[in-house]
This record gives sequence, structure tokens and C-alpha cells, in this order.
Amino acid sequence: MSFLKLDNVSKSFGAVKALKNVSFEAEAGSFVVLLGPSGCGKSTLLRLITGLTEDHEGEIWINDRRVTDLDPKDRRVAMVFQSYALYPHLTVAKNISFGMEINRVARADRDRRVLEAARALQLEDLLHRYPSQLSGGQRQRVAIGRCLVREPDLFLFDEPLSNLDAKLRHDTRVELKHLHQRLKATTVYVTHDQHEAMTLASKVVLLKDGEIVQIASPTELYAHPVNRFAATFIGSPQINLVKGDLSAEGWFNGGGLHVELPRSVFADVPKPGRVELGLRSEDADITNSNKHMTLKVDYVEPTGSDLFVNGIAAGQEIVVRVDRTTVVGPGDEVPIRWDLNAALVFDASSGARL
Amino acid sequence: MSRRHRMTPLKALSLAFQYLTLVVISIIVLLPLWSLIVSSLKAPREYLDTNRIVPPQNWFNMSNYLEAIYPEQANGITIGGAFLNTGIILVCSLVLLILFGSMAAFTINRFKFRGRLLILGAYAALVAVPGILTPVSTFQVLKLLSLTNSKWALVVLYSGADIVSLLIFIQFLRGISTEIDDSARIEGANYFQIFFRLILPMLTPAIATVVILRTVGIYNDFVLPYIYVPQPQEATVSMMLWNMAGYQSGTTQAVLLAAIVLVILPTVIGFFFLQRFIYAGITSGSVKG
Amino acid sequence: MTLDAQAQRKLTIFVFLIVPITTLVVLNIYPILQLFWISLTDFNSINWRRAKFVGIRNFVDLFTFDKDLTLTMVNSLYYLAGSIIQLTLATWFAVVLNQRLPGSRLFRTILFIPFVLNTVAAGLIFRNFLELNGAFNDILQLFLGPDFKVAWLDSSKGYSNFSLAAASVWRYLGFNLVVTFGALQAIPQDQYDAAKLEGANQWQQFWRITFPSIRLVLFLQFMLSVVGSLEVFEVPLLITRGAGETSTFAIKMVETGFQNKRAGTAAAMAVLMLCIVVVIFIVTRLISQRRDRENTGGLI
Repeated sequence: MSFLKLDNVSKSFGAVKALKNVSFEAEAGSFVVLLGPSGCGKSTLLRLITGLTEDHEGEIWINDRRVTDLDPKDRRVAMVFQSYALYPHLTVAKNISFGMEINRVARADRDRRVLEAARALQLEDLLHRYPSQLSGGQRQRVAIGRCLVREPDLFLFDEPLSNLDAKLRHDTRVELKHLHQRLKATTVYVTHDQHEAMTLASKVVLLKDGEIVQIASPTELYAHPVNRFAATFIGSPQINLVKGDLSAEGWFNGGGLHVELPRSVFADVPKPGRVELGLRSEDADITNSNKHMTLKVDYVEPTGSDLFVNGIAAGQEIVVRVDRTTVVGPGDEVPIRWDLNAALVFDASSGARL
Repeated sequence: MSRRHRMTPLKALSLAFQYLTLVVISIIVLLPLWSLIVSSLKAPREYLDTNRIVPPQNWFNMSNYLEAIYPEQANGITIGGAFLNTGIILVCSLVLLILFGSMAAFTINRFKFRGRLLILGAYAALVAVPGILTPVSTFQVLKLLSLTNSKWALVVLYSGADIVSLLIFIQFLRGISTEIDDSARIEGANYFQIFFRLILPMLTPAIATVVILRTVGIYNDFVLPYIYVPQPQEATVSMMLWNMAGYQSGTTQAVLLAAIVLVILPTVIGFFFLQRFIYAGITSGSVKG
Repeated sequence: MTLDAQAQRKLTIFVFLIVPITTLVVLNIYPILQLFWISLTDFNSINWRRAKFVGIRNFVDLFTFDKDLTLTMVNSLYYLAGSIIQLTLATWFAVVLNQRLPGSRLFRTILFIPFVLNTVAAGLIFRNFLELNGAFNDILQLFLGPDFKVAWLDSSKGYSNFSLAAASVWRYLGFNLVVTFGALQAIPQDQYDAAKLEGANQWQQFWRITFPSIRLVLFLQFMLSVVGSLEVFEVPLLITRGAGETSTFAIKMVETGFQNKRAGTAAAMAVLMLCIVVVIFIVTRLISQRRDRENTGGLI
């Protein structure tokens, strides 16, 4: 039996269907990331799990309890909000113990749990500060501390890193990862940032327009996206898509490419027709032996570890990631060879992977 | 430091003219106050013999002030009594106004229910109707509530929320993320706890603005006490001055002036320290309303 | 007892709004409705039982017999003229202060002082200032000779309404100043920077940037002044005790209703005034909404 289970959950706001028949399960101790572009319904889904948004179809179970009709306070969930929602007029200690005060937990018990949480999160020295005196990372720890003391079944995070600057975002993400490894608390985490999703998740639920596109582990999602949307949403730089035709024998023809694709890239026998060939930028080599295409370089972005070489091949924009020592400049024509075993083939009209 | 531009003669002239207008208007504004203060410090003989602009012989002659505070013959209420009445009215009506005004604002801002905009519209439209237009009927309502001739009538009239206070609260509430409410609900708080333990304390800056604005309004008001509570024992500072001005004769005029100084002193001193709030309140209330 | 979220919300809305709405109904809505009823009776403000329905007789009386009412309407023109001067001055000083010249804050503080004074105190201060032996005559004597003396407040001498309008300007100038100043501060500085780069002088900057941005606020203040000049009550009552020539509509109304115990007539006056005020507010609203659409930088 899974720990969190959503069964056919749908939600409408007036005429707008925000979520359509969403079902997924999460095992105890897993870290589930709800990923998708803004407006895909991921935050609504999170609010349905908390019970803050009411009146939906379908059922929700947490830890073998049906919570569909329960109030937020009875669902044994705790949530870290985007703004952290710390109470600005209360000290860190009071912020953490607020929920227990409301629920009439005895004072001694309260103090003990606050201290435990503070110790776990290295907040001991900050207990008498006010939220405005804390850094972004410290605020997040307080928000997590507030969750910890309630000993919830489920931790929920709503884009907690989106208000932080790049450096802090990295550090806090690492902190979150450590914390999860230590506490093994079942977590549902909402983000629109694929990088966060890939680095944190044990399971990603990819959403688009209120529907689940794919549920998979990060590596699976990257290597085997179910459709064009999943392939383009994950990966940076974005996957190259080359339009062309597929023959029944598995030959792809288009965009300056005429190649035979290995059987392993197809789930089934190749179905001839219009397709798009998905090629990740790192699956390319600059080599003259058996080159697949010639890329006319437009500009080069050095990222430090790699070079992103952007150019045009047979009228299509292509980006390849090559070793940082490669000597290449605008206007150069470079021969490219792709690792076709990693290629992805999508139906040109439906976008589904073949 | 940026390089200073050299001023053209035209610019200098324009600047000089602007300063001149400022100085002239300031003198006009301050002259009546100067006249008030110097006259209030003059002994009776001196008050009659000198004009009203020359400074007093003794800047520390407090006799008029002592007479104003401890009158030889009492006509109605003392200054102390009037201050006490005004204080009671102020404290009671401010507490009620803050409490119910912020509750109404919270409800209107945080819940979507039918009639929400109607209520806001009613405040905007009806409360804008000046009190001076409805004395005849409001008096009947106060009579029904047995509140006539008592300062509690004023407490009731002042404690109804006005649209400006309401808008100040609503505007401030918009800046408080609803994630605060959500977070508290997950932690098990009901809406009363959310309001009284979280939102109300967080509203402190808005409350400060409303308190300051309404204090100026209530402390300085004359119309409502004049119409509804003419009883001398129930007099506010406004009514005390009004009554005193009615009794005055040539010899007691300086005493009246001293009483006036005593009455305006608290608001003027408060104003010097809190003007930021007053300007902000007036701007947010009147411009965005 | 536990309530589901829906019920809890409803209970909260009810409990939080019951008192504010009750006071709104009892102290604002009911008196206005009752005013209309009283205006149709000969109610004497004491005994309801003897009040008889008289139809529109109170209104007919107002228009046919009451010559005093014409006088009060004329008097309100003094205050209207005063408030136009007041608004012009306030705009001038707001623009001057908005340049952040050294001493700006001090001047703003000084100009605002009269507004925070107790109403009665302010009235008496101004009365004391304009009296026959008051400081104003003392100053004029410095320039015009020791025999100069004008009874500024004597309602039979014809100056009194000017004096009262001046008192009103003195008291409320600072308020208009602060409102206009607030509107000026909402104008982004980069608009001026851009204009300066293109070589616009101060005069052009005022008419092309400043004035269009504060036009709506000025208009609203003007309309409020129109309403205000119809409702003048305290200033004449405090300075001349509302005597003779200086009486206003509101003073007459309170006199009629309370001293003369003719509540019906007073209510008719109030209804009349209410209708005028409502019409002015509706016109204001319509115009300001149109203006607001024209100029999206509007503050309303």
C-alpha cells in the first residue's frame, strides 16, 4: 500500500478545468516533485492535498486514511510555503510553537519539541530572533522546523526556492536534500524548475494543462520522455528537434540528416510518416569520420565546463555541447556526428514518442 | 559629489520668488498663533494696554493658565473634566473602531461572499453623507437608544467605521500574504485565531495610522458634541472652549486664550512627532479612495 | 463541536460583520431613510404621535417663503471662491515643496498646523486675530497709520463673509497641500529626467507632466470643495456665532430643527441638500471615471 494516493482527482474553477483525472501514488519516504510550467495545475494539486482548496472530484488517501473530506488541520500534513509564511511579529521559537499553542499542547512538551527541532535544523542560536532578522536560508529552516514539530505524515513544499538568489538557491537545495536523506519523511514538492526537480526527486510527476504527462524517476524522465513536451521541458539546453520523414525500414530523412536509426530507439516497429527527431546536445561529437551533418556556427556560449555551440544545419537551429577545449568560432563550419542510440523519435502531429 | 551646475539668473530669480511665497504664507499662517501665545502670557493690565503682537513682559507669566485650570468661579466644567471626558470618548471609540473596522476589513479582504462589494459600496456612499445633514433623524435614533445628552452618544457615533479607516486596513491586508492564513489553517487555527493572534498584531502599522488620523478627527470635532451633547458636565474640550467663549468678558479673554493653548497643545505636539503618519493616512485615504 | 470549513467560514463572516453592519444600518442607513419620512410630516422633534403627514408642504414652504435660504446660498459662494483660491495656493505650494528645496519639510509642517488644531480653538484663534483690537488690525496700523481700524467680523459692515472664507482657507490649506503633494510624489521621477534630457523647461514640465498627472486629484478636491461650501457650519458659528449676514444653510437647518423645533422643515432642508450632494457626487464619479480611462496613470 502506498503512503500517498490520489485517485482520479479533478478540480474546476467555474468553467476552467484546472485538474483532469489526476492519479498517482507515492511510497513512504519518497520525494515526489510535481513539475510543470506555470498554470499547469501543480500548485492547485498541492492545495488539494492540504485541503486548503475544497470541492474536488476523486479521492485522496494519506497513510491509509481517506482524507478527501477532512479539514487541513486534520490531515496531518505540514507545508512550507513559497513566501515561507513566517509570522513576522513572533520570534522563531514562537513561530515554531504556534501550531502547538493553538492545539493546546502542554508547555513543557512544546518547549522540548521546539528545542529538538531547533537542534535538528541548527536554529538554536536563532530562537529569539524575528523572521526579519534572518537570511533566506534560515527562514526556510524555520518554516521546516514549524513542520517538523507537528510530526506530520506528509511534508509539502510549494516552490520554496523561487524567492532566493542563485547561490542561496543551490545551498538551500543541498540542505533540503540532506534533510530528506536524514529524516526520510514523505515529501511532495512543487516547482517549475526542472533542475530542482531532477536533483531532488525520487519521483517526478510532470504536469501540463491539468493533466499528468508522465510519472517517472528523474533519470527515466530524461532518457525516456513519453512525448515531445516531456523531452523539451527537461534538459538544458533544450533538446534539438529535427523535422523529417521516417521510413518503414527505420531511415530518418530531413534537416540535412539521412540516417538509419537503431531499432532500440523504437518501442515498436517503425511507423512511416512525418516525425521529429529529438537529439540531446551532449550526444554530439565534432568529428570528420562518418559525419551526420555540417553545422554553421552562429555563436558559442562557454559555460565553464562545456561549450554550447549554437548554429544552423540545413535551415534548422541546432545546439551541441562539446568539450571546453574545442576551438570553434562564429562562421566556422563544423562536422557533427550524433550518438543515434540516444535519439528520440516523436510523431510530428501528436508529439507522442514512437 | 555631482558637478554643480551654475545657476542662470532667471533660475535664481524664480527660486527666490518661490521662497518668498513660502515665507509670506508661513508668516500669515503663524501670525494668529503668535498672537494667541503672546496674548495668553500677558497680565490683565498688560493685555489691555499693549497690542496683540508684541511679546509679553514676562514669558513665564502663567497666571492665565493657572486661572484656566483652577477657575475662581466655575462655569460648568473645568479643563481637567473636559480632558477626562474627551479621553474617555477617545479611548472607547478608538478601541471599538479598530476592532470592528479591522474585522470588517478582514472579512471583506479575505472571503469571497455575496454582498461583499455591496458592503464596501455602502460604506463609501453612506458614510460619505456628512453627519451635518442628518442631525434631525440621528437625534431620534439616539433618543431611541437612550443615548442623548451623554458622552456615550459620541462614542457610538465615532466608533462606526469610516471608509478611510476601512480602506487603510484593506490596503494593508492586501500586503499580508494569504499564505499566512493558509499556514495557520494547516496548523489547526480557526479564523478567529488567525485574525486575533496573527492578522491583528500584523496590522499594527495600519492601526497606528488609523488611531492617529481618528484621534485628530475626534479630539478636534465640534459638530457632533454641539448638536447631540450640549450638557456642560458632559463637555468635551471643544464644548468646554465653546461654553467658555460664551461667558467671556474683557478681563477673562486672556484666560480663554490660555485655555485654547492648553487644548491645542497635545495635538500640535503629537503632530510634530507623528506627521509622517498623518500625511500617509491622508494620502492613502483620500487619493486612493 | 467541530464545524466543516464551509460552516466555519460562514460563521466567521457573520460574527465579524454583525456589529459593523448593525452600526451602519442604525447610524447611517436608517437616519437617512427616516429623514425622508420626517420631511413629509410636521413633526416637532418631540412628540411622534402629534406628527401629521403633510405631503410636500415643507418643500413648498422652503421655496416660497424662506428668503433666508437665498442668503445662505449666496453665502456659500464666498466659501466656494475661498476654496478655489485655497486649491490654487495649495497646488502652487505643493509643486514648490515637491522640488525638495532645503527647508521644504519645515514649510510643509508650518502650513499643516492649522489643520490639526481643535475646531473650536481654531475658530476662536481666528476670531481673536480679526477682532477690532486684534492682531490683524495692529499689523495694518503699522503700515496704514494708527487710526486704521476695520470691523472685519461685524456682519453689518459687509466684510464678515470674506473674513470667514479667509478663516476657512487658513484652516484647510494644509490639507489640500498634503493631498496634492501626495499625488505629485506618485509621479515617477524618470518622466522628469526624460523631459529634461529633451530640453523641456520648468514651465513645460509642469504643463506636460505634472498637471496631467494631478488633474484628477485636483478635480476631486474641487468637487469636494463645492460640497463643502454648501455645508459650511462650524466656521461662521464659531467666529460670528452665525449671526445675521453670515448664516449658512447648515446653521439655518440646525436652528430650525433644534431651537425652533420644526423638525419637518429641517428634514426637508436636509433632503434638499442631500439631493444636491448626491447629484454632485454622481457627476464627479462619472467625470472622474472617464478621466481615469483617458489617463491610465490615474490614482483613483
